[in-house]
Amino acid sequence: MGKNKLYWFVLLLSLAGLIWVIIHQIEFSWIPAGCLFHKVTGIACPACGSTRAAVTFLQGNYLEGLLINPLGIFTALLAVLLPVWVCIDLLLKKESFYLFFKKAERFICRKGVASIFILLVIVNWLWNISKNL
Amino acid sequence: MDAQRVDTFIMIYGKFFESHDLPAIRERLLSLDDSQASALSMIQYHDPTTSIIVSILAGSLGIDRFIIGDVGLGVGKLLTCGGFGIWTIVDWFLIQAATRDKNKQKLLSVLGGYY
Repeated sequence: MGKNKLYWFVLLLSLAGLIWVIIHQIEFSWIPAGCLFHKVTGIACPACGSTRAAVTFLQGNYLEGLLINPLGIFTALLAVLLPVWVCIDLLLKKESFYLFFKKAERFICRKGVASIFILLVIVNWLWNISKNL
Repeated sequence: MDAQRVDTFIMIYGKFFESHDLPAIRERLLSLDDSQASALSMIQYHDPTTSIIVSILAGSLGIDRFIIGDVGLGVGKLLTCGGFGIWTIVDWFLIQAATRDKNKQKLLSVLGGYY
């Protein structure tokens, strides 16, 4: 994926995430989007409950938010920070985020890191299922 | 590489690339020397059909993107429940082209540059 495509993609996805959270705040739950995995299987996916976690966290219930889905807080943090980084890059015509993205991809692909990452996701997933999210 | 070997390569591996890329790939392979040609048989291509099956079954978890080597996008998809369900559906239509594009990049990295 090229630099410009990645930047616009990150901006679009983050914007979609923020709109998604706002929509849930004013309870427009008629929107036909959401977790396809959960809709089809009835089982929570590793990221299910992220919106609830982020909203609870934003309301000041930090521990409760973390207990719903810690991955949600991490995602929300990325959705706020990454667009800022991308905008700074676009304004200053730099490519620091693109270089970081490529480095991070290579880092995650390392055997040890990938194993830990997969293990954490699976543990979080099992926890999500046990919580009936 | 001689024309017969190139045509055999195209016949076997043609489905792994976009059809509009094939004439350029053929031209590039014809001008290839034998030392590079042997490296061609070592490349393992991703099958677009496998990608679409994985995308339909486990697209929400981003596994389709992980498989073709788009790790960053895979993590993004995993963290957002498959892009709120929308990206999952969009990828059902895009993943085959993305797979073929990855295969082209793999071939290019072996051929060393542009064709």
